[in-house]
Parts: sequence; structure tokens; C-alpha cells
Amino acid sequence: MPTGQDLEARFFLADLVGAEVRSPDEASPCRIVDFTLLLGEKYPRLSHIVVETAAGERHLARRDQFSRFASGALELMQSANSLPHLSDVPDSVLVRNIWDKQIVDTSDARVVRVNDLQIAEVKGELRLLGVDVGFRGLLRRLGFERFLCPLIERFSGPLKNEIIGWDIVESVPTNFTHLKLAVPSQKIRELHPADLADILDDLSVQEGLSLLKGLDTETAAETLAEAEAETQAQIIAEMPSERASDILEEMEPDEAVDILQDLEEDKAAEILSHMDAEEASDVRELLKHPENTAGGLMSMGFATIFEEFSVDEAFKHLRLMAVDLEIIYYLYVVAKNDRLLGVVSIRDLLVANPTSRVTEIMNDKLIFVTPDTPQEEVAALISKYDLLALPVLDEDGGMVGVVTIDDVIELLLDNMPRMWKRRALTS
Amino acid sequence: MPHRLLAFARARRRLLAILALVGPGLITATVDNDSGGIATYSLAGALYGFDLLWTLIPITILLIVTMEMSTRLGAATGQGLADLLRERFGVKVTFWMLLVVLLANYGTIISEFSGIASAIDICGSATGYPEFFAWLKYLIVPLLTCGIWKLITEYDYKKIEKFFLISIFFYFAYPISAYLAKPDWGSAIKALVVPTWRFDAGYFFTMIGVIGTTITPWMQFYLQSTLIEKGITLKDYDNAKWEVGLGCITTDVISFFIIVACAVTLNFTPGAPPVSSIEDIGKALIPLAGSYAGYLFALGLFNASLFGAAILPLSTSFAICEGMGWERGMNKTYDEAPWFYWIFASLLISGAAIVLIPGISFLYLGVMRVSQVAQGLILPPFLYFLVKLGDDRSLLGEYANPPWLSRLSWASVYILTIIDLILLGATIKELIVG
Repeated sequence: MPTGQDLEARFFLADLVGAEVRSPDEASPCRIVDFTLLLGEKYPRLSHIVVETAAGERHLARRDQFSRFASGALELMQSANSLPHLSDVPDSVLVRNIWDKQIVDTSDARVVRVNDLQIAEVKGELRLLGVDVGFRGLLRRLGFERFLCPLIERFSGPLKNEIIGWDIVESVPTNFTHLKLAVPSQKIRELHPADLADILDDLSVQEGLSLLKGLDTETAAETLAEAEAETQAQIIAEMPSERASDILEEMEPDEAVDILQDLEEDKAAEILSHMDAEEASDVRELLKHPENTAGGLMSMGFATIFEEFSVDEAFKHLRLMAVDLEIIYYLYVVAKNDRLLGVVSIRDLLVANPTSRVTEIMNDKLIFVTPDTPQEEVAALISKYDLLALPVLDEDGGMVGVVTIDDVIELLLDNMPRMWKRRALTS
Repeated sequence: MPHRLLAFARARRRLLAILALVGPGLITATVDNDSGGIATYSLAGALYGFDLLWTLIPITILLIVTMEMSTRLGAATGQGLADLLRERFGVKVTFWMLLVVLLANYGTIISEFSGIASAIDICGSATGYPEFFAWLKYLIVPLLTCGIWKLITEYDYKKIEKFFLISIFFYFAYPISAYLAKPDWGSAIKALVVPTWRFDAGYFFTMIGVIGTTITPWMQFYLQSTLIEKGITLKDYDNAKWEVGLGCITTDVISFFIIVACAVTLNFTPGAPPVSSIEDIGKALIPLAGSYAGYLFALGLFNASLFGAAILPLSTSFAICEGMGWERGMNKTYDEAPWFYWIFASLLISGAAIVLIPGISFLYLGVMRVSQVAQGLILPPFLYFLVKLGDDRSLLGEYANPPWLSRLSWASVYILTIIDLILLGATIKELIVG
């Protein structure tokens, strides 16, 4: 925020709107009703002050046409009637339109409603400094500030303004957005997908869709993957199937499956039909298993090595495979017939002698589940043995997938006592 | 596939789709017949016989029109009603509108707890131990309040809300009771179609109560937020629309039978006692349940009131926080959404506490009645804003009200305003003339 001597005065829009303006022509009293806004700068300039005469006509005045501009003392140098009409400047963006709209506070990743706007006079120019989202701003808008604030402050201490700088807010494309700010800008794109997901959860389906529209497919997929299950299904259901399948392709197959399982069958089938063949077959495989079993949770991307490998060979092999794998916690040692023999962690590999065989360092006391193991049991095993991932084996002992800790973390949290979880999540 | 089979398959699909959406509409409509509803319809029958039956048809039409409008607004914008009010009309309009809604809803919350307390009292006099049950009230009402708090804050109450639909079965008692009381169905139907006017304040008072208990602002808020929570968008709007319409008609068919049953047993029967307490209203079920009428009535009243007592504080607090831009919802913690929990808790707890003030039980029926009249009085300004939103082309595009609907809605707003003014005029006149 601009500070120092540059800053001459600060105002709130609610205090200025309706304020009486004196002019040399005493016969034509007028009031401030609005300001026009020039978007584009960090703190946008308020190019004109809109004044309304007693006859209801709206005129535009510049700041330098005021001889005095302070709250309670506003004075025009010329008669309001000699100023240009508001309708003479088509497409002007009026500041009052920002009142009562929803905005995204990008520093806190939350959706808030604009109660009031703060305006500053900097070097003879009026600029929009920030939005007031606090309780005091609400009282000011309602006209209660003067008599309610002293009363409340007597009981609960000073009532501060809650101002968010204009440079860190982002507009939400709402149904009423005639503000031409609705371009999802850099600020939104710079947010972490997890933060974007929080915002997404707070928005309506329509608003969420337009938020995702401004993101590239990869970010959209990461964002959606972090959102609540209900939000995921509602948003994907409303998307054109091509776009939906592009986004689901970007996700881990197990995450995509979670969403598809919440959709209506027709829609899910349509999205699948648009998906890339290889990805779709992985997803179909996972769809066979019920949602709440190891089969429904597992992902099919895991690193296998063969029993005859040396540690050195295992590293070489791993480098080749790692490109396609999102998460690698363990390497799974398999026999020629695909049967799982043991597990080697990356740490085990790093500290081992490069020439020793992987079978010498692997852990062959296998802890595993089958595709139909209930998810609670999976979570319990992971938590009991402090694992990062758990192999899923078919009846012949062959690897079909792995369940990683992030697949069950929600479940582990859900099983915490409720209040404890709340505290853990909010602190 | 033969053509008929195809049509059948399509009809079955549509039916399934509608059932799957059960039911914002049906549930909202069931809450509609809460303790205030039962009291108001019963009194309408007991005091004015069939004379108010004709209002049911215009009321049903208006109910469908307003509920459909909320459904459409929710489906097209994905936003709650308070959100839309705030963005379209600004903070002042929203604040004052929500304030009157809060006051009227608070009255209705007290009336729900009155219903619960009355149900206990009725059991007391039916068993012959009124003192014991009067004391029991002080145990049951606080326990229920805690139960509601726990239910709403700790569990997903949406999962069990359909449980409350069983109260619909209680309402079936009224058609049966009405049938057994052998009313003159011909004149009932005639009274339904041909308006009867009476120019006294009590008639208008009761009429506004009937309107206010059927079409209430809080139901619109509640319906729209439920639809949004379910993620209903324009694609599902057609099905949702039918479900909501079905709910509206169900609720008013029930109202019809309540009025008829009460008219026959409490108004037309010679020597019937004047209705002075909620207990007398239960006598309308005597043709069906005989000496068990009291228990049946108490059970139905209890269930209907309990649902209202749970939902009203919640939806009122939600709407206020939505309009004021405060964090809200049960998935937020107290630290995140203090206003939401404070408003919810104060409405719930003070509503329960008021009905426990010793010696206040004679007011129960009055509260049930007056709160519904209050809902009727705030209806015209509320509808004014609702219809304006529905008319807004920049908001809804092609889903804005078609011209005929817009005209019909505005006509209703004017008529309701006139009826409200007549009541105010008549009340003032009676106060002055004495």
C-alpha cells in the first residue's frame, strides 16, 4: 500500500456517497453519488466524481475541479450544471458496483463480501486502495457506525476496519459482474491448487466453473483433486465431457475414479469415452472395485524391479521408470511370474552397497492387502506399521496396485475424535 | 422397441429421476404444515367452517409460482436468495428484509416449541395426570433442545431429514377423519371454488394466517439453499420443478382436509365446544381415533413441531449470515463462523426457554396463530424483491419470468398488500371504535 507523505487523506466510499457538495452556484446544491474507475493499475485511479443535482441529473467532476475535498467539506469550483453529463462517457465503470459483490482475498484464499471501499488521495489523485470486509464497514454502510460503534467498543474493545489491499483481491465472476475485472488474472493463477480448492468449495457451481475455465488443464486437475467430493462431482457433471475428460486424465487414476463413481452412469460413461485409451483402461480397471475397498483406493503406478537386479541396476531401472510415476516410496521386488517377493525403500537402496543384490537388502516380511480389503483395514495397517504405501496383491500374489498414505489420510483424520480433528485442521 | 414401451420407459425414467430428487420440494412442503400450520388451518375450519376453503386454490397457485421461482433462481445462479438480494439490492435492503424475516421466524420458532409443549400437555390431560406432564415438560423440552443441537452440529442431519417425512402419514389422519365425520362434500367443493367474503377483522386475520403459514419467506430461503447444496443446476431444473410442484399440491390437499375435518367436528356439530386451546383442536380427530384422538393429535403435532424447531433456527441463521457475508454452515468451526453459531444457538435456546415460563401455556395457541399472521404480513415486501429477481433478464437470461408469470406475480403482490392493509385498517378501527 502506498504510504508516507504521498498519502494525503483516506476516505470510505460509504462516507462520501450522499455527501453534500457546495458550489459557487448556491441555487444548485448537489451530492456525490458515485465515482468512475479506471482499471489497470495496481491501485486503480478514480477518474471522475459523479455528482447528482437536485434535479436528478448526474454530472462528472474531476478532483482538480474541487477546491476542497475532505469529509464534511466538499466544494466545487464551478456549478455542477456546467460539468459534462455522466451519459457523455459511455461504458464507465462505476465504483459502487463493487459494493456487496463477492471477491477472493488471495492472501488468505477465501471468498468474502465487499462491505465498503477505501479510497485514498495520492498526489492529487483519488485511488482505490482496498476493500473493507469487516463488521465496521457493514455498520458504516447501514448508517449505524456513528451510534453503534462507540457502544460496541465500550464492551468489546476497539472495532477495527478489515481492509484488504486492492492489489491482493481478485474478482469472482458472479451473475452480476458487469465490472470488467472478470479476467482470472495472474493473482489467481499464482495460488496453490490447495488454496484454489478452498475457494472453489466456497463458490457456487457456476462460479467455480468460470474459475476453472481460467486455469490450464493441469492446474485445474490439481485444484479439483484437492476439493471436497461434493464439489468435485457437481463441477465435473456440469462441464462439457471433453473438458472433463481432459481434466480427469491429468489426475491420478484413483482420484479420477473417485469422482467418476459419484457421477450419474451416463455422464461417467460419456467422459470415459473421451479419455485417452490407456488412461481409460486404467480407470475402468479401478472402477471394477467398490469405492471403499483397497481396489477402489489404489493407484496402478508403482515401481517394480526384478529379483536378479543388483542395487546399481535397480537405480538405473528406477531412473527410467520414475518419469511416469507421481509418488515413489518403495520399490517392489517381483519374480519372473510377477509374484511379489519383497519391498525395498529408497533409503535402503541409498545406503546399500551398489554391487549387492536387491534380494539381500529387501524386506520379505510382506504386509499387503487384497483388492477387496475394506478401506478402514487399509488405513489401520498403514497407521499401525507406519508405512507410506501398501501393496495390493491378487490371489496369486501378483501386484495389482499400491495404496499410498495420501489415499487414506482423510480416513485417518475422519477416525480422529471430531473435536480433535477440528482443532488439528484449524490450528 | 414398440412406441408404447418406449414411452413407458421414458415415463419410468422421469419418475425415478423425480424420486431421486425427493425431496427439497416435498420436505419443504412437509415442514410447511408445522404446528403453526395445523393450528391455523384448524382454527380456520373451527371458526369459519368452509368459508375460507376458497382461498386454498389461489394460495396453491401462488405457492407453486413462488417456489418455482426460487427453484429457478437457485438452479440458474447457484446462489442463495440472501446472496442474490445482497448483490442486486444492496446491503440496506438485505439487512432490513432479513431483520423482519428474523423477527417473524423467531415467532415461528417459539410456535414450534409451543407445539412440542402442547403435545406434552395434551398427553397429560389424556392420561389424567396433567400435573405430572406439566413437570415432565421441564425435562423433555431442554432434552430435545440439546438433542437438536447435537443432531445438527455433530451429525449430517441431511441424512435423516427424510425421516421427518413420516409426518406426512400423520396428515393422512385428517382425510380419514374428515371422511368418517361425513361432511357434505358437495358444499365443501362448492366452498372451494366459490369465494365467500366476510368483512370482519377476525376473518381477515385468519385469512392472512392461512396465507402466511402456507407461503413463507423462510421456506424460500430454505428451499433455495437446499437445492444449491444438492448441486441442482439448470439441467436438473425440469425434474426439480415437478418435484417442487408436487410438494406444493400435497401440502395444500392436506390443508383442505384439515379445514374440512375441523369445520365438521368443531363448527357444524351442534353443541361443539368453542375452541379455546390447542387441545380442543385435536378433537377433530375423534371420528377417526375416538378416545385416542388426543394421543394421535399429540404425536402428529410433536413430530411436525420438532422438525420445524430443528430447521428454522438453522435456516434463519444461515440466511442472515449469507446476506451479511459471514462464514456459515456446519462444515465450519465455531472459530471460523462465530456469528452463525451464535444466531443459531440463541434462536434455538431462547425459543425453547420462552415456552417454559411458568403459567404461559395458555398462550401457546395464540403464539402459533399470531406467528403465522406475522409471516403473512411480511410476505408482500418479500415477494416484491423475489419477483424483481425473477424478472431480471440480466441475471437469468432466458430463464427470467415469462411476461404472463411476471404479470400474475405482480398481481399477487398487489392483492396481498391490499389484504394486509385491510387487516391493519380493520385492527386500527377496532382499537379506536372499541
